[in-house]
Order: sequence, then structure tokens, then C-alpha cells
Amino acid sequence: MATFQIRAMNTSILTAGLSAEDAAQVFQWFRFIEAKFSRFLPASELSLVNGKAGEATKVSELFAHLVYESLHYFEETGGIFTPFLGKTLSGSGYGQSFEKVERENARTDDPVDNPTGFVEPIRFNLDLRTVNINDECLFDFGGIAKGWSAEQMAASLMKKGRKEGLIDAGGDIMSWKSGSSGEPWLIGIAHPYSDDKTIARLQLKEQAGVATSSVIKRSWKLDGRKMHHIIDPRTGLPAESDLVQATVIGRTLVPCEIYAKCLLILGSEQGPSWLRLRQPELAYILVDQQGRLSASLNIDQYLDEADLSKQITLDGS
Amino acid sequence: MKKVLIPVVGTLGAGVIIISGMSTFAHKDNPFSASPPVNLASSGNDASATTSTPSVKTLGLVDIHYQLYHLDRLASNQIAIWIEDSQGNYVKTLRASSFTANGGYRTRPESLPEWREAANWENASENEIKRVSLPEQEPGMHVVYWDCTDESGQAVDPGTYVYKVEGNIFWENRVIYTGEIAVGSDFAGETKAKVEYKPADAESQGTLLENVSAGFKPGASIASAQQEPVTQTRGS
Repeated sequence: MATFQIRAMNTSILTAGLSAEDAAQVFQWFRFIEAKFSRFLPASELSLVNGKAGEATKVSELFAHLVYESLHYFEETGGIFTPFLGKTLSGSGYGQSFEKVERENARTDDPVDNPTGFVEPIRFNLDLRTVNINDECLFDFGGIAKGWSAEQMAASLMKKGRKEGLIDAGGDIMSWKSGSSGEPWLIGIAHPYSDDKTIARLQLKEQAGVATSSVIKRSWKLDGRKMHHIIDPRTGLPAESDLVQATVIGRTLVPCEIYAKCLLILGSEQGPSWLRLRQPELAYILVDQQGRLSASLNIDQYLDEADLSKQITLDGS
Repeated sequence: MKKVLIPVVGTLGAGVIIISGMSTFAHKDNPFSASPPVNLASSGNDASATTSTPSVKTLGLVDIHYQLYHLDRLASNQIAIWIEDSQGNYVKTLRASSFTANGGYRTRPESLPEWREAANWENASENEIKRVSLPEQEPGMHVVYWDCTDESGQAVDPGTYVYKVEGNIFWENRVIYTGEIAVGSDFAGETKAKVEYKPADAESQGTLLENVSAGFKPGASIASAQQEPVTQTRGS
């Protein structure tokens, strides 16, 4: 199977099952998206909108689409997913591209206090296509931009008649196979501490999205305190649930990306029942702090190989 | 559950959403377009990004099988699988353990020295490193495929080629399997590789690899082969 790979959006973007021409189109799309939505590029549209916080700012059609999509999930999740953590993340020491963050001694020029009250985060005029973001919030589209980009591009390629394909945006995966185009896609679920190890194997038939969130990968220390990029909007601090990794599988990618993050924030006790109320068709595999795996009852349709009764070693090696 | 500090919502009636009250918009269709712009498709082929060239017509497919064991010790369990021509010229690396492929040899120079020298791996490109990097595999029988292309993605000429599998058993103690396979329209067949330990008594340090063999299927494509997982979902 031919695969093509580049780095963009500070992660690895991979395609499989696509022609070189289609893969090139995918890569150009991700570079375009990075230039528009990166929090770390001063010239990105997101930086310009954040820089004009407090003012009604005209945005592009694409920007408006992602804002709307984010607000959809903001509401659906009761604010557990939020695109308004730009200031919180910067104030937590994640104010620049992650490879530039000093992991053992991150710094911030603008530390955030724990949020103590309500602020109106945004005014969004659909008719004029203007956005007014509160300067106490600021946008950070984070993972949703990756997942949403992969999903949009996959939809575009499917519409053009491509019978099969897989787009992997840093672990957020959108795949499709139609008609009699062969075996299902096989993908692994990485060990929370090592991408070299796999804790389960999934088979993806027809159309599927898969996303994994982890509190391990993007973590650092600020004033001796351990931080990571999964912020619990209820506290404004890194999530402290009993989970270290959550993988969600469904028919499209964006809900998987959103709900993997939410499960990680809510934990193994509250998260699964909370998810069932909102998106019961989504399947999941969770890893808790003891290395125990748990999964939704509907995971069987996706599992190729896994021993969910086992406890994996979480020694960081 | 604690109260969410930023409650959702707004109104659609006036075309303005103010996130501060009760929501009415979440189940409506997104009114904005997000299709990838058409001009992206015609802005040129990003050839530098490719890791293989799927349109190349090749001679067929070589499958290389190996039995892998796991050694519970330091500085072991690294493997590399590559192809040379009959004159010993390097053709292509198929897979190599992620640690070594990604530069682990700088801290552990005993890692897969024969493969690294043959492949001139110190000068490998980032794309090449990513293409060959092999995540840790469970013990058991495994297979990797060679699509009869060289490292630049061009189809190789018919002839006899050498497949090699190198493994670190314990620090500098290594095992190397070497076998020949003929590729061409009339060469369907299977061969077994010969084993050599370096140094000769390295065998006493444990068994990492066994039963290395290869087969050639004329005309077969890599798309028809049963693959390892193509990628993995992971936290980022």
C-alpha cells in the first residue's frame, strides 16, 4: 500500500491508498489550514482575530465554518469541549509551538488565574460574518482543526469518486472504502507512553473516523507543576481524571476528536454514560492511570485484535 | 459535575450568536462552506513529500518472513531488513526498528551497524526514516514486503537480489540472515536465508530471529498483500 507523508501542523500527516496527486492535494490543504488556524503563526487568520479581541472582525468563510462547527460541539458537550482556551493555554506555558516549549521549565509572560466567574466569550454575527472574541478567552482550535481538515478533505475526495483512502493527521484518522475495494484498513492504537507499541488493533470498513487524546504526549512543567494540553474548562487547569488516554471511533472524525478529549476530562466513571446520552453510536477504548483498558459495548464492530482484559505497563519506558 | 464556567449559547433569529444564554443553533446546519478550495488541486504536485511512487510498474512482490522473539534485556530487539543487489550494492531498506532508525545509534553505536553502513543511514532523509521506522512488534511470525523498487521508487531490473535481516541480540552481539531471491517474469519461487552470528559465539546470548525466508510472486502488487497496520491513532 502506497503511503505518503509530510510534517505539517507540528505533526505528521500521512495518506494511504491515495494517488501521489491526491496525496499532494491533501498536503497542500493541511499547509493551507496551518497557515490559517495556527495559534503560533503571527500572520494566521486566527492570530489576527485573537489580536483584535474585543472588536468585531470580519472572517473568511472557512474560518466562520470552523467557528460554527466548534460552537456546535461547545453546546453539545455543555462546554466540556471549548475553542476558547487560547489564553489559558498560553498562560499555562504553552504559548508557542510545542517543540519550542521548555518541557522541564516552561515560562509564561501572562499567567492565568483560575477562572472565577463567567465571561461572554464570543459574539458571532452570521450575517456580517464577523467574530468578536473576548480577550479573556481567545481562540485555540487545537485538535478540532486537524480532525476537521482531514474530514473535509476526505469528503472532497469521496465526492470526486475515490473509492478508498486514509488520511492520518497526527493520529486523527479518517478512512473510507467503498464497493468491493478490498480488505478493511488496519490501524493500531498506540501505547500511551510509546508510539512504538500498540495496545490494540482496529479494522475500519466503509467510512470511519478515529481519534485519540492523551494527557502524556504534550506535557511540560511550569513552576515545578506538571501541565498538559488537555484543559478542563470547568477549572481552567489540566484535566485530572483517572484516564491517561481515550480513543473514540465513529463514522466521521470530528465527533471522535471532540469526545475523546471530553472522555479524558470526565474520566472513566462519568464519561461513558455522559457520552451515551449524546453520541451513543460512538465506540471507545480507554486507558486509566493503572494501565487498565476498558471499552464500549459496541467496540466489537471495529476490533481486529485486542485483549481488553489485560493491564498494560505504564512505566513510561 | 461542576458547573461549566463558560455556559454555551445564543440566538440565531437575528443572525447573531452571543455565547451567554440558552442555545438554539447547535442542531442547525452550518451555514458556511468548508470545501477545500479548487485551486489547491491545481497548484502543482508536491513530489518532495512522497515516500513511494504507486504508479511504477514493477516485476512483482517479494515477501520476507521471519520469526521474531523478544529478549528481555538491554540493548537488544533491534532489527533491520534491507535489499542489496548481487554485487553487494545497496538497493532499499524495507523496515528498521524505530529506535535505531531515528538516531538511537548515536547513543548506542552497536545498533545494527551492518545495515547502517550498507544504507549510509547517517545521511538518510526524514521521509526515508519515517518510511522504514518499524514500531516494536509482538513475538511471532511477521512478514514484510519488497515491491521490487529501489530507494528512489524506481523498478529494479530482473535478476538476483540479496535480502538481509540484522538483529541485535545483546549490545554488539548480533545475528544476520542472508538469502538470495531471483526476481523477474520467470522466477517465482521461495528461498531460505542462512544465519551468521557476530561474533560467532553470539548465539549463546539468545535467539532473536529464526526461520527467515522469502518468496517472489511475479506481477503481484503490494496493494494485494496483507499488511501490518498502515498507521496508528495516538495522542498528539
